[in-house]
Formats: sequence, C-alpha cells, structure tokens
Amino acid sequence: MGDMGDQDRVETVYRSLHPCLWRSLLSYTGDAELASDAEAEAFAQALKRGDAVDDVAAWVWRSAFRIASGLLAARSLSNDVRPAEGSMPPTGSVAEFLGLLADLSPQQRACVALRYVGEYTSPEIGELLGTSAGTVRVQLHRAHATLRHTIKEAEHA
Amino acid sequence: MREDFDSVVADRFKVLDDVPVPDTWSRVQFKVLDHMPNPDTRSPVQFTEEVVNMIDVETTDPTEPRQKRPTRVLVAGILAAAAVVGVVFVVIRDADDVTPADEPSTTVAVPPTTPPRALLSQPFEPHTTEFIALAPGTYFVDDIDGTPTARILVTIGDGWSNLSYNARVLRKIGKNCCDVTGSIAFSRPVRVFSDACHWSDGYYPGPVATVDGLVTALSEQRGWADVTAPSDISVDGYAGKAFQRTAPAVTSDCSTMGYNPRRRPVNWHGVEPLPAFRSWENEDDDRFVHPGTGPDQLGSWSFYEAGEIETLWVLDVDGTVVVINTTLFPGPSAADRAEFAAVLDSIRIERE
Repeated sequence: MGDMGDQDRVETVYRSLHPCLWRSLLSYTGDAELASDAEAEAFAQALKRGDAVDDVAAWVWRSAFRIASGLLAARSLSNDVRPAEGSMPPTGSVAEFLGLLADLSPQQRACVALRYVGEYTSPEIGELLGTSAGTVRVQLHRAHATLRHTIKEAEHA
Repeated sequence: MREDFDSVVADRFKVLDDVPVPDTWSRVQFKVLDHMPNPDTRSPVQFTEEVVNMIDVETTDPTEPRQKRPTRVLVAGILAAAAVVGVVFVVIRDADDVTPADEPSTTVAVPPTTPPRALLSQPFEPHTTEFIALAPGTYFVDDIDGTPTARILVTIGDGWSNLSYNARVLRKIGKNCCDVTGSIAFSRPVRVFSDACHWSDGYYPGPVATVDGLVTALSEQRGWADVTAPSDISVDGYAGKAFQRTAPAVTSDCSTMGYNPRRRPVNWHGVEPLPAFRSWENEDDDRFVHPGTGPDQLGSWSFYEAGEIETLWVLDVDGTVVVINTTLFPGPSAADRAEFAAVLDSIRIERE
C-alpha cells in the first residue's frame, strides 16, 4: 500500500478530476452507482500501487473505464445501460439523455463520454482506451450519426 | 470548432452539468481498507467480485492489448458455485441455557467439510487498519489478549473479514464495499471508562476482574442511550450475563482522540482530533498505539458509531472473564439481525 505522500498525491488528483471523471463514467454506464464504484475502485488501486503509478490522472481515467467496462459486462448490460436495480435512476432530461446514449455501442459511448465530458482529443482517447486515433474518429463519427438521427426522430415524433 | 466535435451532441451533453456529483472519496478509502493482502483467505464471493471489476489494470501501458482471463473467470465461477453449496449447521446448546431476548435464530450456513481454523493475528503496523477476508466456516481462538482460554469457536457465512493485527475482531461487509453491517469481537477488558462518551474523564473505579464486577461497570457506564437489564446465560456450561446497549444518536460532543481506527477512512493522517464513543480497554492495547497519537489514543476495538447496537456476553471461562460482543450498525435489516443472532448462537466453548 502507498505511503502518506502517495495518499496526498492521489487525493489531489481525485479532487481535481472527480466531477469530470464521474460524469464521464455516468455517460458511459448510465448508472450513477456503477459510475461511483468504478471510479472509487480505480482510485483505490492507484493508492494501493503508490509511486508505481507515475501519471495518476491518466492511469485513473484509463482504469476507471476498464473497470466500468467489466462491471457492465458482468451485468450483461453492455448494450443496455438501464440503471441497475437498487441504484438511483436519473430523471427528466438526464434520463432522456442517457437513453439516447444507450443506443450507442459501448465503445462509441466511451468515445463520446471522453470527448464531450473529458474533453479529450481523439489521439488521447485512443491512448486511454488502448486503440488508435483513427478508430476513435470512426467511432465518434458513427456515434454522431446515430445520435443526430435519434434526436431528429425524437423532435419529429 | 474542435476536432471531432459535433455541436448538436455537445449541446445534449450539457444536461450533465446539472447532475449532482456524489463525493466518493470515502468509498475509495473503504476499498483501500478492503483490499485483501492474502489471496488464500479470500472468500469466494470477494474473489469473484475482483474478477467482475476487471482488475486488468496491472497493464499501465495504454497500447498493450487488453487480455481476457478465462482461467480466472473459470476458477472464480467454481468458487462462487462452491459458495452457494452449504449446509445448515444447527448448534444445540445446553438445555439449561437462559436465552437472551436478542437471539432469534440458531442456524448459520457453513461449508460441510472444512475443519475449524484458528484466528491468527499478524504483526501490527502503525497507521494501517487492514481487514482480511475470511472464507465461510468455523474459526476458533485459544486465548484472549494473550491469556490462554478454553477453545472458543464461532461459525460465519459469507462476507466476513477480520482485523489483521487483532484477529479476534471480525466484521461483516454487506453487498456494497462500504456497507459494514456490524462486527463481533472476543475481548478481555481490564479498564472500563466511567463514561463512554466523555471517556477522558477516567476509568470506572470498581473491580472489573469478575463477571459481576465487569457487568456492573459496563451496564452502568454513562453515555449510552439504552442498556437492557443483564440476564443470566450459560454457554456450554460456562455461566455469565447477557445484555444489550445502544449508542446515542449523537456522539459529536464526545471526548476526542487523534487516531480512531473506526474513523480511519476519514481521519487518514490522524492529525485532526475526532470524537469517539468508546467503552473499555484491553490488556494488550499498548501493542496498537500509533506513533504521534499519544499513549492512550488507540485502545481496544471498543469503539461505537452513533446509534450502534451492541449485544454483550460476559462469561467466566475457567476464571478468565471473557467478553463476546456483537455490534450492529444503525438501521440493521431483519436479515442482518437474524444473521448476527445466528453467529452469536453458533459460539461454542470446548471444555478442556
């Protein structure tokens, strides 16, 4: 387990990126409880690794999305981001928005979450997700098309 | 406009700005505490949870392809299946037992073939509060705080862990990481505070080396919201008293201490004095003092949260006064109560 210096370092990173990371994970998972759990697990593991983690922020972003991906897969909801039983469901426009994202594939959701909440570029998203910038651009393009189509349909409904 | 940016989509994402973000730092701390150093002692359920969380974050190179781990999943699946298989273990108590009112159940699920295992402490390391997961089954202690006793056995189900440096403190974790249901501990108090809230005022002046003396000290201790009348019990022929205490709803004005292990996730550095509600000290508490916190700042595991409910058994085990206490965190469910009553009821003491 890391020492007090690591504790301070990781907590400082947590305080700086927590709102952005948590909202990104909410976009990706559609589940506030799952977002909280994935984020907390990532930071806990960063603390456990201590100074073995050089860039805590990058490591946590990457790890949190992987952990969230695992949690989604375990719940067999990777293509269905309805809130898990027992978690607090979002309401109103937020629920509607998360419903829009539910039409995307998990990788598309991760890309748009990192793009529009995390404000990462395609090369940076590629690094975080372990894929190429070109792949991210393709995923974003498809996500935009899907979302625009869904939004347009909703407006004309 | 930025690369790969879609204004329509970006506009929709603005709804997230109004979503309240919960502070999850305390959950991080709890997860740190619950990371288990010894994989051999992990319970099947917790091992499975690790797989669920896709802990393949060992790979810090973002370009390294993600790897699936079918072997671990398979093993975890087998273990999880094994955890489901259990038998109901019924403890038959002495016919002349006087059963306290807080013992509604006599059953607890355990694996059928595992022999009892010892609860062994590890060396104390300052500024750590590690809990180690325990597999379901029967565990025993042969001494309390270094004083040999007849073997005391307890049977637990899933979700239990024990304090690494004081193995006789066990706690139950609920479904979520932070959901501590309660604890059970085996103790030998040598000093009882006169007031559990204002414990810095001093110790109970009377004798506490006998069952009657200790029961008087604990049942008349000031600060509790409610204390039931002690009743006679007998556990495998060892006589004693049982009663229940409820901590007050507010403990914020209690005496403070520099290091409260029950509050460690909040007070990580041990530099900000925190109020503590505490009942007694054990003989070997000096082993657990943290540097910079003062000689009396840790004490035993006799700490209580506001509203916590404690059931105490005070027994005379061949001349040694032993306290077995369970604590239930505020708002326990009926299932929690039943499980703790079953664990308490599973306790056996082997006559030598």
